[in-house]
Amino acid sequence: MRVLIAGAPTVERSTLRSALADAGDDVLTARTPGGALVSARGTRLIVIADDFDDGAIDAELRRDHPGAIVVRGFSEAVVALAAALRAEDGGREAVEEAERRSTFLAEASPLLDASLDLRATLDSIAEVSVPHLADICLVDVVDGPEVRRVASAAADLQLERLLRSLPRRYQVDVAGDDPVARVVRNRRAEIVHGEVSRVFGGRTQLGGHLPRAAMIVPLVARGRAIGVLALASLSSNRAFTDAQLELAGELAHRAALALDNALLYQHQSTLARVLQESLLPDRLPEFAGVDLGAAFRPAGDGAVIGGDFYDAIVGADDALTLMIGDVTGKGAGAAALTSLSRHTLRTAAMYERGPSEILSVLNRALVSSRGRRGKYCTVALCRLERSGGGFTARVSCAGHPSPLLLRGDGEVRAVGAPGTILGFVDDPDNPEVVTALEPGDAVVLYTDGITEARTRSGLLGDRRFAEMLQGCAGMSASAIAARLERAVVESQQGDTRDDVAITVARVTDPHSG
Amino acid sequence: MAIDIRLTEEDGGVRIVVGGEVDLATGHQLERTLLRAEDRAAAITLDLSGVDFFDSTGLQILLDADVRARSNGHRLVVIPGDGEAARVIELTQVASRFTSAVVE
Repeated sequence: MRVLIAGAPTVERSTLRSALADAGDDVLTARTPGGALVSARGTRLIVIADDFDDGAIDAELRRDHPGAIVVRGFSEAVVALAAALRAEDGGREAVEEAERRSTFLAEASPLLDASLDLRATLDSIAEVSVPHLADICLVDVVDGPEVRRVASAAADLQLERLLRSLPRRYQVDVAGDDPVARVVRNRRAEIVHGEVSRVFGGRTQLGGHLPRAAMIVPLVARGRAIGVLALASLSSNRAFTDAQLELAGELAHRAALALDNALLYQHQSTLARVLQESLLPDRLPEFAGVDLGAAFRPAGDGAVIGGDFYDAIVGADDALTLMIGDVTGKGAGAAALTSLSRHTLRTAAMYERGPSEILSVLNRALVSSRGRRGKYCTVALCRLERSGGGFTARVSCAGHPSPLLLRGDGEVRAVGAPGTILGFVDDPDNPEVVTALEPGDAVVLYTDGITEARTRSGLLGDRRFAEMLQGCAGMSASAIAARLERAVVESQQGDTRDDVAITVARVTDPHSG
Repeated sequence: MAIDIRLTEEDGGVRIVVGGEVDLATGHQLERTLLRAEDRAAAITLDLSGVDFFDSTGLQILLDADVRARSNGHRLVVIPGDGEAARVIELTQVASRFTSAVVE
């Protein structure tokens, strides 16, 4: 029975996955919703982590997978449900088959664990196979006529070195008689003798070692053969038994899942990154007398779109408005809210004459579009207006940390006052604070992904961030943004929990720049 | 990441005491508890003083709870304490803007 588990990596998910796989279910896992879930055809049971806050996904899944049961949360109840569904499907036979499989795996090695970590999975497979099952183990991904080696292992170091010297990519005739092409085409394992060399890309000898026989097992994921697992023997005495072929099938099954998930995940990450990038400005505007810079790093591994945004826009009256904000939540809903917020603020900034007025436009838009849940957004806004030979900074904040001012001499202080978060009440308080800027001064807007970053000595905090900024005295806006981002990332432990966004505007010195 | 939610009946209402972390992974549990409590009781006290981590997820839950209390007519009392929840409530300046929620 095919089961799909979707959700952030947690101990519960691994436990559930093991429980289901041990019972014989074909378990697919995905970290994120969207493509992964919709394309897992033939899935009978779909288990989603509670932390996917997109409530619409349940309905979407039921629509796309008629007949599938969709449940939320990982628990023993899900295992019981799966057993009940299985009993309906295959009966005793399926259970016995599952028991046999799990016995093989228990005997093979405790290292075998279908994790999403591709490298770890492939390495465990190689470790388990060699030398117990074969002298050489190869994992190849096959895409049309192209074969690409993703893992290899051999019984001794010299052989391993030889394997690594072989071409990592080669071509096969998909309709031809090459054993690899055949196995992929037929999706059926074969034991080959005599044409073993072709598994190695055409070399008949590996420094004098002659492969005598090989088991070539297809890597099948979601009904598609994505490659092969080849286990070759150099000894004429080693004949592959049915039991070994069966175990090779188990290893291939694990490898296929891991590879498929990795490819899917990579695709998801790319998709998310492209989407995220469309939510951010392509480039910052030119504004005479001010040098602009920005840095942005999405949370975690970037596969889930977060809610931070920033922008800079020149208004009708030749004033520059810098903005930075943070919407609640993650994922598609947050992305839509980010887009709404950023574009509403941009438009308001083109016509409104003051920072509080700009914020009030977004507030009205958010309050009027609230649904079952509110749409809330924190923003820090800084309007730079020309004044005499220099600039005036008019700052207004809504539930957001006040921007920092870095003076030419290295002094750092906050500019701005606390204000009500937007989207909550009809009449928020977002007082304005006015500061005169001199050449060399830089205004830094940032999101709390920075001050909330987890470091070895606790949360980064305001004081340490201010110290990092002091170290940037005299740098250009881009350099300041880049340096701060790098400093935060370096001091951090593990993945970022939240997006990190920084926007910097520096008044250039007409003499030195 | 773990959250600790304790619900007790008290005269006239329900008290929800939260500990641990309120974030993307755990927030829905708090929200569900609040929604169920709102069905049963006319008065809810939400004690967030023991919370170690509170981000926009928790804020969303809190603000939505206030808006629901406004329209449903039940009484909501929020105790931010002086830790993480209080910090976020202070930064977003919402304490003085809760319509129904009385912050102690």
